[in-house]
Amino acid sequence: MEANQAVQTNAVSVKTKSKASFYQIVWRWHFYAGLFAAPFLIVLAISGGVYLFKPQIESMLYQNMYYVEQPTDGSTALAPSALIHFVQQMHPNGQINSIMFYDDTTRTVEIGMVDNDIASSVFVNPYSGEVMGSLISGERFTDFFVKMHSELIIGGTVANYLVELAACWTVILLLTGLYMWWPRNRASIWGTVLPRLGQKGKVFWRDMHAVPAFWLSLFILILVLTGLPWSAVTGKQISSLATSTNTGYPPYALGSGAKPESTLKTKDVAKGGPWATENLPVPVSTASSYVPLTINEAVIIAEGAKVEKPYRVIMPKNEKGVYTVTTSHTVPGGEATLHLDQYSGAILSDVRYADYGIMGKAITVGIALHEGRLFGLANQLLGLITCLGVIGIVVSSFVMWRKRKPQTKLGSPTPSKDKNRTRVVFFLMLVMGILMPLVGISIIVVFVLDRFVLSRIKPVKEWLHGA
Amino acid sequence: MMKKIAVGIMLALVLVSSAACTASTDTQKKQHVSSQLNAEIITPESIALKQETVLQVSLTDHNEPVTKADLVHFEIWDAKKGQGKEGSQMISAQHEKDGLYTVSATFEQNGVYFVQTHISVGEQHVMPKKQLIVGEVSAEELKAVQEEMLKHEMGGSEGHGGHHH
Repeated sequence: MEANQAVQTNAVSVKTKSKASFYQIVWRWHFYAGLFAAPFLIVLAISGGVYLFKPQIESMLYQNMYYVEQPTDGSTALAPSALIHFVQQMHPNGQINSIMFYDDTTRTVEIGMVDNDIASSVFVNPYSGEVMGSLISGERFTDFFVKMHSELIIGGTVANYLVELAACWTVILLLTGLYMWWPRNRASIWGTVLPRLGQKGKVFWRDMHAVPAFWLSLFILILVLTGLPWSAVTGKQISSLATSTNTGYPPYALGSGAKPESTLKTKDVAKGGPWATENLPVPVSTASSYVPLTINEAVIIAEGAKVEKPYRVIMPKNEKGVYTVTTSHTVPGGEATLHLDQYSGAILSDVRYADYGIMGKAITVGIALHEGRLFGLANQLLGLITCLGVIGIVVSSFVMWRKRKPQTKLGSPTPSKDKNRTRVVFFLMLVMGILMPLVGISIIVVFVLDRFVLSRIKPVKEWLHGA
Repeated sequence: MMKKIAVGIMLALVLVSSAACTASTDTQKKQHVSSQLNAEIITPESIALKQETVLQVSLTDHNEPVTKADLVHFEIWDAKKGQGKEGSQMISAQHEKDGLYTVSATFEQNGVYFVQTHISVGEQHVMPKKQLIVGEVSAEELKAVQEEMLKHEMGGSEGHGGHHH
């Protein structure tokens, strides 16, 4: 920036003056936005960078629970009900609510259980039935980083909103940053696509900030955009847009969402059933009564419907519940969610990736890209480079700020005297605020606060607004 | 000037968000139900020992009787063998009329039985299962059946069923 400004003073023309004025205004926005977003970006980059490698990290940490040796004598896996039975023996009071089969023949089967209100996953050797260990849900190593990434550990709606706010402001940082990066008076690769390493001080740090930020801008933007479907405000807007245009997920597409109901054929359904602890029907006094299908039958139906591992079967929750079969493929395309009538085994609903609308597909692919699952290790490494880059960009911006910050003031760029241009930029920002509601709301809140409160307190005003 | 802009934008925000809300209430509630095949197993009020007993299954698809099912089988086994279907008897059912498929079976012993129908109509398959009580069954016998079922619950894994830990 310094360099640019120096050049601009040499060539004083009307045109460069107007550019300089816009530059000044945009810089101020970039400064305040960066000041707010920087801490969040550091947290998101660190937690995201770790979480990208969840498969590798957890496979290593929980190796003893996750992996067993496949028997060499050609013996096959035990029936799912047998595995559940072994787990049940170890945890007599546990209520088993799901069973997950992996596509790797050396992976253990993961059985979801609630015992004393504590949800956990129990890992069982599919060949011997030996219980290998268990992990409490939400307490795995990477769960910590997920929470950090989405709710800043403290959790709750406020933290979730703050993350979304920072992510949206990052879009503005990218746009304003690219505007400032754009070569104005001279076209040189130095200082634009390559840093001027020979320079010292402000020019060096400016290049260490702007050049990598330019290179990574597209990746950062992609990470922000693909992360937004998770967000509370924008995410909700995206999903309502998808629903209203009928381009999202069809009904019953997601295992965690609404479910159809099993048809209760007669009033005399046997008590008990897979949802109950004991997993067996209790004979009743009437001559005949329907009996829920066993987990083994549910698995046979799922395999018959060409559902491919890895998939999870969720047990019916009550008499009207269904068996829900839901896949968790790393690469999009193989998604399937089936709901089975627990009495007849009828497939009440079967939604595959191909049934998703265009937005549903885009969100699914976007999420896989965001999590580094779309194209293997290269995807993970790109994510990691972007995370490290973001940290570097924040560090270099911090150095630049410290270098110019006076002792007694915040060191914000001087406001432009050009009121019209200031308004034009403000208006453009508000347009961004409509696209990203949290940005809009935050701009209005800050504007009102600044205009009517902070401006009236002289020391605060001077500290905040600089010269 | 600034105030006017701010007010205008706030109005726009309200409009956009309310538009989004109305859009979401219009959500099409199209049901993605694949199977409407319904099978109801019809059994007598009481089942007598060593007498021919008629077992039926009534098939409907979208509430219309299914007269041309591809496969209707009744599988019957003693509940003492658990749900592993050990020694089960498979009987092919005949279409009678109006989607009613029938088999007859004779139960030789008092006790609890399972009868499961295996039905295929085109791409659709259902396999509802009922539990039958034949003759006189004491409370102890019911309890014994339960315990047996627990042991046999692991069906299909004979080679490893004896694993202890």
